[in-house]
Amino acid sequence: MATRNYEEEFELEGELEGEFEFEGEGEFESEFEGEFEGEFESEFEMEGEFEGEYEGEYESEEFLRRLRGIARGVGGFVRRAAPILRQVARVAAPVVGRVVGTALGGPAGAMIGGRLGSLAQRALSESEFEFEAEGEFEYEGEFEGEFEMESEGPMTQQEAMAELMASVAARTQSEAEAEAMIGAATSASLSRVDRASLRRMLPHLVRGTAVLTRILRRRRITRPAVRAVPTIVRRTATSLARRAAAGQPVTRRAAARTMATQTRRVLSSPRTCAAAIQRNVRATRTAARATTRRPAPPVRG
Amino acid sequence: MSRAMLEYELESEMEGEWEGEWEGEWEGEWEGEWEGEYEAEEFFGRLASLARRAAQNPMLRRVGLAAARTALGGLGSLGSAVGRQLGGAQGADWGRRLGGAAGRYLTARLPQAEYEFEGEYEGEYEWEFEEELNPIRRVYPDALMEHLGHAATEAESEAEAEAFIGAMIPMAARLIPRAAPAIMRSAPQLIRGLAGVTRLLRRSPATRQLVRTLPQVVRRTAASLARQTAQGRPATPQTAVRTLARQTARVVGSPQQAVQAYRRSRALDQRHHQSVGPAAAAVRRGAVAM
Repeated sequence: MATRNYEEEFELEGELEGEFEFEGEGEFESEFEGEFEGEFESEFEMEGEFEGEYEGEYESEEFLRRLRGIARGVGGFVRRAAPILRQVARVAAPVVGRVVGTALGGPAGAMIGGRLGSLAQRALSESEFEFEAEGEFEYEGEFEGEFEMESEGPMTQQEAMAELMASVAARTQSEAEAEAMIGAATSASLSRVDRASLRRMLPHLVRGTAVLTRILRRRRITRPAVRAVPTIVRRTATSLARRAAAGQPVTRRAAARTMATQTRRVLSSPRTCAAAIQRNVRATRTAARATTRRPAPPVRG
Repeated sequence: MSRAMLEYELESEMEGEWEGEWEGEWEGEWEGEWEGEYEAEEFFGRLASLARRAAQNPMLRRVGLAAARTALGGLGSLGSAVGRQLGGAQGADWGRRLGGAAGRYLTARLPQAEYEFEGEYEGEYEWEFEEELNPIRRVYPDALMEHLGHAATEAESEAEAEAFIGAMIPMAARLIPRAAPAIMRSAPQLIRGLAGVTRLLRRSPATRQLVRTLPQVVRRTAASLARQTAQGRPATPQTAVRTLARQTARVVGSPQQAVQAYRRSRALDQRHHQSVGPAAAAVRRGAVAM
């Protein structure tokens, strides 16, 4: 019933366009929309993908206009932030991998929780050195292109909730609140199947995304990239699930390496990063509308 | 007045009343002993002796009420969202103030009599759980929630603790599907409220172990929201946060409820560790190979 209601909400999205602006959503759109009007119309394939994706399903021209506006705005942000995001990815990926791969609590946990985050921040601000652990993590290349279609297709309620939490984490003023939201986003990003196979990894993934969020939020220009964290988690989970299906053990070390790989891939690629953020913006708007609708009374009898 | 100031005001209402008393109560007994499970056993062991005697603990009750007031801080964000819709940035500021005022209003309606709601819904609560999800399917998510609660208690930083706590909210929606729409609708407010409670409890070594009762608070909040939905009273973010505050006061403020929550937490956390045993062995093999 909940899934059916969610699908109906997607169908009504064009009708209800503009009815509600979720907290801060207007800020994000005004930051991007129209900023680089027309500049990226041919550069990002997403433009044509969106039109074909929704044709016949969403008749509203206004809805398509807003989608294009969002795509242009997000594309503009990613284009400006790309060099810095690449630098952040180089530093953050091994940090995330180290955090995920370390046992919870204890002296090691204390170091991971505090010092690595500070080291990463110093490395980013001073642009001084490549993080020394980077060589430990060999980036998987066997699934190149496997996530190309992930921005398309319907989204579950849990996935939409994850995107909503990530958008709040990107905008909130409080560091601790941002990490609480990203913890929720991480948990909600996992599908039912992934949760069953990765439940022992969840606390480690939460720590990894918390540290990543902390790093991304340090600089204003990279803060919107927090919206891409659910995509990183989802891609990590999919990779690990494939690993398990192939009969390979899903160890903490494998999870660490996979998450480091996906962090670097998503943040370093302007196209992938833009697609992830656009997915987040779309999902946030839909989830925001769902939260403002008066809930339907339960069916009696 | 900023949201931070409103929350501080709510917290500081109770802080002066109980913080000094707590330290005086426990200081000589706990100092230097807050490490791992031993401290938890000691802490809840003393609560259990109170529970056996059906004794009340005014200080614990004040902690519960202070935590409940902190949970209501989540309403500030709701006010901000509504305010922004109405009047932009200035509207958001007014909305935050209104949300904080709503929090103070609701604070006055938290239970004033000792354990006013003790046992009120316990029988219904158990029935709700059994109906919602197959007990076998429920064990692992339950155990994982308790593990997250344990991790939040032991986390080295506030932010990390709150990340673990935040992860519980979507899990509660899966555990009790009937509550899922209400939880989805109120997730940011619930997470903010719960994060505030976590921050408050972790502030003092005397109350830090109570963070382990929060998974129980989350479950009971979800069950209550499911019950409200079934009764034709769909939960808004405001009512969801109120429900969270009430359950916080009930569980954290009662020796019986707190001890029960801790025992459940310990049992399920152990089950979680048992379930990841083969994975733990694989990790050890991996560590040797490194």
